[in-house]
Amino acid sequence: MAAQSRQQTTYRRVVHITHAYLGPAADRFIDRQVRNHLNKEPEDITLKDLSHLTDWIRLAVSLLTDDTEVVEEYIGQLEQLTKETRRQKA
Amino acid sequence: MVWFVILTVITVGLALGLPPDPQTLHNLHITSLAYRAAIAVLLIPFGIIWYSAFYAFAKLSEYSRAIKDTADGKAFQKVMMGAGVLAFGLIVPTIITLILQNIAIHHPHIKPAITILSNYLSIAVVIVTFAFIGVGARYLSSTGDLHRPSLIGTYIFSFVFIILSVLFTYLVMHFHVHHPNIYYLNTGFLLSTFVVPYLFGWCMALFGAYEFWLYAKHVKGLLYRQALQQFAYGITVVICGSITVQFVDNTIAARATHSLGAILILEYIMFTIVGVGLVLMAMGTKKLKKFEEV
Repeated sequence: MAAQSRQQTTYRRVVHITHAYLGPAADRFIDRQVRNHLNKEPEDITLKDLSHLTDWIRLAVSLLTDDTEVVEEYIGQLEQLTKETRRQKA
Repeated sequence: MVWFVILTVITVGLALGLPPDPQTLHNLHITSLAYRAAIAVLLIPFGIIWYSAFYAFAKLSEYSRAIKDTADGKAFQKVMMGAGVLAFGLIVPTIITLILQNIAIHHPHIKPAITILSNYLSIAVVIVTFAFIGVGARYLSSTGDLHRPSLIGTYIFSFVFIILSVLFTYLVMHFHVHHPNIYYLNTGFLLSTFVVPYLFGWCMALFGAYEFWLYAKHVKGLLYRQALQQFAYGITVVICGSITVQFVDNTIAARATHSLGAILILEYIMFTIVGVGLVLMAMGTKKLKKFEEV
């Protein structure tokens, strides 16, 4: 139960970060990345998936904008989340 | 886009194929050939505008289908329906008017009925289009954090709308008094079934544009906001351009009897504005749709 809650938090935190860039499209965007590239249900993502998911997100967002600063800022926040989650787990 | 091709072919065929009204030729002091040439020239920008409208409608249809089960999907579905009515509303009334005007050449006694019918048809298109867009704007703004219009924004909106209303009413009444057989309605009917519905439609549209603009300014999501702002600018330009077209068509243009060139230039400018708005709308929608594809 605790593990499930942690996983859910990870997903929610990814969506929360994404919301600052994609607004109302954030949930749908993350759900699609997880389902299409990780072949999982969005709520089932774990810490192990975060780094892989970040790579896919970088690729996808690069298709949405030419502004590399925005892409790097967004990806930086996702990488920071990965580090924090790892630290919490340790 | 199939509908665009079908309706454009029908319109071009009718506009160039049907004989022109001798009274119009007399008023404009031109020959039948010159009249047809002018119509052909006028049809080019009209074709571009119609294409832009159907293109924007197609993009909005694709986008609203992609997000149909979401809160903003409901809003975009309404806007898409408004864009659809606008696209069809640009061509279908033209076709009906062309046919009816041709009938009126042979049966002059029904000309008043045809003028009244054409005017009411245009009003219906305006009301339905702007109602859908207004409802869509309201749905969209209700999905995010509520932002009240600023006091200065409300004052500017009210001021512009009052000026527009007074000027429109003045011009309609001026032409009605000086040229009794223009609208073929008595003063009471003219005000209540012509002026008021137009003003109501424009008020809905301007308010909808303001709500779009307000939502696009405050919505969360840097990239989403950029795309939505482009869409909101587009829809605002389309609304303002459409109002200008309707304003001029129902006051100055219909009453100008001597200068076809001036009317053409005026129509070109106004339709260019609407076209730019439609392109902006379509581009914004394309960007929004991309968020749902990658």
